[in-house]
Amino acid sequence: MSVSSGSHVSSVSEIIYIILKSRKGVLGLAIVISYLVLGFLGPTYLIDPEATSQQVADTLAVPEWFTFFNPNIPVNQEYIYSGWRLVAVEREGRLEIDTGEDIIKVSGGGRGVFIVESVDRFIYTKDPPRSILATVNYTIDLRGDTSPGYSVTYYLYNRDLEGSFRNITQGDTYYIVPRWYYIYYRDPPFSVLNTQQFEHTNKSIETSIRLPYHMINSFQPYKIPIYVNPVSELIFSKDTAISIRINITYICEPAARCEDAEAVFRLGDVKIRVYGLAYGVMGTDHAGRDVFAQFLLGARVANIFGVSAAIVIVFFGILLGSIAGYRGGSKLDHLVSFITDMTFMLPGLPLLIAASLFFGRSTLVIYIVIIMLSWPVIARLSRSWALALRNEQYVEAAIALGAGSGRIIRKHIIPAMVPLIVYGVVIEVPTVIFNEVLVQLLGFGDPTFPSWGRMLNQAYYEGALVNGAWWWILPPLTGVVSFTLGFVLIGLALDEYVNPKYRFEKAVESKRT
Amino acid sequence: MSLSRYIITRSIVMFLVFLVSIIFFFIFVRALPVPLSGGSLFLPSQTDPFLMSVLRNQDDPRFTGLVEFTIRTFGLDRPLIPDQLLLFLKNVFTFDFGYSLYSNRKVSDEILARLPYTLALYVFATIVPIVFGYYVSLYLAKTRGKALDTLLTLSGIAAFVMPPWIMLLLIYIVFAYIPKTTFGVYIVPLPVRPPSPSELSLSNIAYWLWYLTPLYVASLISFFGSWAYFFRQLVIAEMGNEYVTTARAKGLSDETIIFREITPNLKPPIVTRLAYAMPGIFGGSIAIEILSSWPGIAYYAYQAFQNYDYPVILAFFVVSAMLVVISLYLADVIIAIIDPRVRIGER
Repeated sequence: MSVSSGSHVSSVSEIIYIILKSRKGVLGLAIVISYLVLGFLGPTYLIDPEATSQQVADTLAVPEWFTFFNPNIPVNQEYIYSGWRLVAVEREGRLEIDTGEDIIKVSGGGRGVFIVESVDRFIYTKDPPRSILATVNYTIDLRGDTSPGYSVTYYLYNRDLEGSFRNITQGDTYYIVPRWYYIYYRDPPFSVLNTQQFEHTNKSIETSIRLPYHMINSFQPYKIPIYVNPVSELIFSKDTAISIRINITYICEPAARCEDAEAVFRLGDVKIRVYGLAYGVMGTDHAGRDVFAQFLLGARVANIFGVSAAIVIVFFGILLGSIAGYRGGSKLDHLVSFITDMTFMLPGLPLLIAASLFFGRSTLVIYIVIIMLSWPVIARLSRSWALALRNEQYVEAAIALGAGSGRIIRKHIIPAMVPLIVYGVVIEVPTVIFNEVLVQLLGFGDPTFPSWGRMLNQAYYEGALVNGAWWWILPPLTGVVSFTLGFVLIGLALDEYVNPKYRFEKAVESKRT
Repeated sequence: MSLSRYIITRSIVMFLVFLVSIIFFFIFVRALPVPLSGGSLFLPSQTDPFLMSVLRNQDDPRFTGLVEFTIRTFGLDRPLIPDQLLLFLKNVFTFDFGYSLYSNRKVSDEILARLPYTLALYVFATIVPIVFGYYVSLYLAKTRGKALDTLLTLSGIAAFVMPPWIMLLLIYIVFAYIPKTTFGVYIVPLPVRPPSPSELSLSNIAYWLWYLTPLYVASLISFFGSWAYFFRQLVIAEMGNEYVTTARAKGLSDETIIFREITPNLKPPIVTRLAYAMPGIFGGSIAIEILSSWPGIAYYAYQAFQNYDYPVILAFFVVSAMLVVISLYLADVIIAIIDPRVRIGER
């Protein structure tokens, strides 16, 4: 066998020239470079790093460019209510009230109910959202020998809907539900008014409540059936103004012992965060996480994982193959060839499943097993190269000069294999990516490893298809296909030069687990 | 070398390959985790994940007999090497893997009951794409450079980037979920209600075939492309040979040249390529089996993985290795019968 026509290709720049000469190669190189740029610069500059693991919008939100066709789809919005005014007072006994910008001071014995409303009112202009995040922020200071009891209730208030009801039938039961107010926070939660404190209190509350939350439905003075979403069906409505009301109750009895009783309520800003049903470039997944951010991170992982594993595979393959080829026909050669054939016949996917059961789900184990299964392709190729190179004149000259076989392999055989090394890395990347993605897709991989395979696994098994969330399952799918296509095209461009005898598809086909 | 002698040699080689792969599997997957977690290979070890999983059931009255039996079958209270290795080899060759830790049934019975379902996919995915690709490429050999030929080349490239499981996902998206969610009709069934192994009867054979359709189509499309591309390259290479020129000079038509002169030369490369492709085809067919909940051995192993059912996973690997080796052996023998040159070592 003579050295293949690739022997004149010896440096990386010549290889790049060969790739650029064919149309396939240019296309493949363009794809690979764009994923390289996307994977390494994208997660740093284009996205919020927390968006891959945290809820950023509603679950299964559509891509934001959908609002171009339907401007009524709610997007992420945040309303901040600062500044409060007293709108109604109802009291008995000798209560004294002192109100300031965001402070209500009540003193004396008796009972009283004070209703405070936010100065700001925001007109909501989109379709009702499915869920919101409402915050609460206040400080209570209770003073006096007999400190008073209190209760604070926060509710969403929609003045435009005042007096309107929603009629709901559930079986034989008929509900009439008022639409203009909805309690989202109450302190103390279950017992009202009779909690008279006997200690001086100075407590500060800052918390947020995600609505709808079925426990809060039981706080309402009216009954709501469990399947009714109070956010989208009751309180929010297009082109109505939403404000916040706070209901403060004060009680100190008997009045004679409450001479120095005093309660100071300081009301902080309230934030209402509307979770959008349209978000970002590619929408969100079942947990409200940004799909685009996961896609970019997946591109980075595919680059690092795929290329590094391919380099390790090629390293071992070339090492074993060139030793076997240089010693062609010897016992060592037969041993390496037998191990190579053996490894070909191992069923890869069952081995990966068993390994991830016995070692635990870990990316490192998958990485090692993929490398162990994939090196024979390269070993076979480099063996036939080394067999041919052994008969080259410069190798014979080196032998005549007394060089050892280790030195010849290092100085003469492996440097002549540069095109094979590049070609090997290029054809091994798709193999590695397909194996990794498949193992993750079937659920045998590490569920915290942010690869395209994990995205596919979650999309397939958490209902992207049933819910029609194509913006969630298509990005990782096209990502895998196009990323590997880039490498396959480069491989085809190099194929004719590196290796006219050994057909390319053998290499790819053989180790697709 | 005579045919019978060739067959015997191949049997010995294949048996050796199977034995070595089982030993490799035991050392890598079964034994290696133990020293990694601080146990010892040559002494009875308590850190073996298999043993820990078995002992977890110890206090459960339903499993008391099972725990002892499993420890005895696999020798879990003895050193991993050599006692457990030898016991495992004995288990492999008597095909006895004890009882499932989850369902308490005999593992070998469960595997055998599911084997036909896996074979239904694997045999189809191996044979049909070859036959299909062979004839399509022969018929298209005359149309070189035309639109159909370009399509063939493109489908060859597509086959590299579309493994059967990606193909299956696309088929499910386009022909199952989109019609179901938008129009409420089924073109192919959703992968949610697989036929149960116990209900095979004539009445629901239609449902079985319907359920199999996307799996067959996925493996056919995905494997066909690369075979057709491969045969096309072969035919084109053969066309340049002198005997084709001679045939043409004799005045034979293109069809006669392709089907009478060229086809005999196409067979030997098939076996070489099949040897490389078979493990991949097997992997692809069990991947689509898991994705579609098709009740074969791989889906059984998938469920066992989630239940930490170690005996089933061990049996699954052994059966898979056996299937791959046997199918390669069969391919070898069939080709040796068809093409005598293989026997004299022209591979």
